[in-house]
Amino acid sequence: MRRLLLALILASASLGAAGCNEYHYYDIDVTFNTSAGQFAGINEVSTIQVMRMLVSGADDGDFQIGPNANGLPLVTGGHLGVFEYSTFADSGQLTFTAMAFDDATSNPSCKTGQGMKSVEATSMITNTVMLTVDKVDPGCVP
Amino acid sequence: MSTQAPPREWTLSAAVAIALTVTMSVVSLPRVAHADVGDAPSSKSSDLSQVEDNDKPKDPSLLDKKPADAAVQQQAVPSAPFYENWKFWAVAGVVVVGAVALVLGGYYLSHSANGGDVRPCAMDFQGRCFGEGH
Repeated sequence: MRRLLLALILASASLGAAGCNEYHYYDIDVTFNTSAGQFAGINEVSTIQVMRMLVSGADDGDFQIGPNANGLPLVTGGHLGVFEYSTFADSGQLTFTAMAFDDATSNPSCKTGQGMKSVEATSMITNTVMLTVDKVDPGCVP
Repeated sequence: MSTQAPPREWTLSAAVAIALTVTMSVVSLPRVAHADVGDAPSSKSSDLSQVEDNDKPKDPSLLDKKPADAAVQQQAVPSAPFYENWKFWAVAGVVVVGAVALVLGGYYLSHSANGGDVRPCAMDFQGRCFGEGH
């Protein structure tokens, strides 16, 4: 009987140790680069209707915001705000790539900005990542 | 001079010995043949001494049953199957309930310790929450 109880305790302990997956949150704070040679202030940033975020490395993801939703288009400033990405990954490298389109679709020819940031996945619950989107292409809006 | 022993001669004593042997055999054979055949059990005192234990101890405590005797006697009695014993089911129930509680408790404890369910999307993120659980 004692051996049975011990086996049960060990089994439950191993179950607890294996545990369910732990959520880790990556808060990607996105800002458009409005410095010289980049986006020309809110006038240009406000033309961005769709943003696509790709996640690669320790986890994979592909999601899109906009148009006319999730804070797009911006009406003031160049700070979009936070994308929160939840993952079970707690090791390896995570790469976040943000692409901005000045069109209602994510048509590659209308891509006007892009930013990328790689971080080490950690066991912390919340990780803040600062990501700046630079102007990389003229886009579709003249 | 000859080394051979002189031939034996039939003496009177030898003749008497042979005659006695033959006579005793002839006289005793019928009695042996009839011995214990159809006879009732004898009640002579010599027979009683065979039945009775002359070494019987005078101390009655020596004749009392010992614990080992009781254990042997108990083993000889066939016991009921274990599953007909309520104690078995009581112990089994406690073990099963305890195991389930232990596993569920460990699961929820681990789940809580690891952050629990996915957290809700903050208002100021304006729905920009993606990944696992979203």
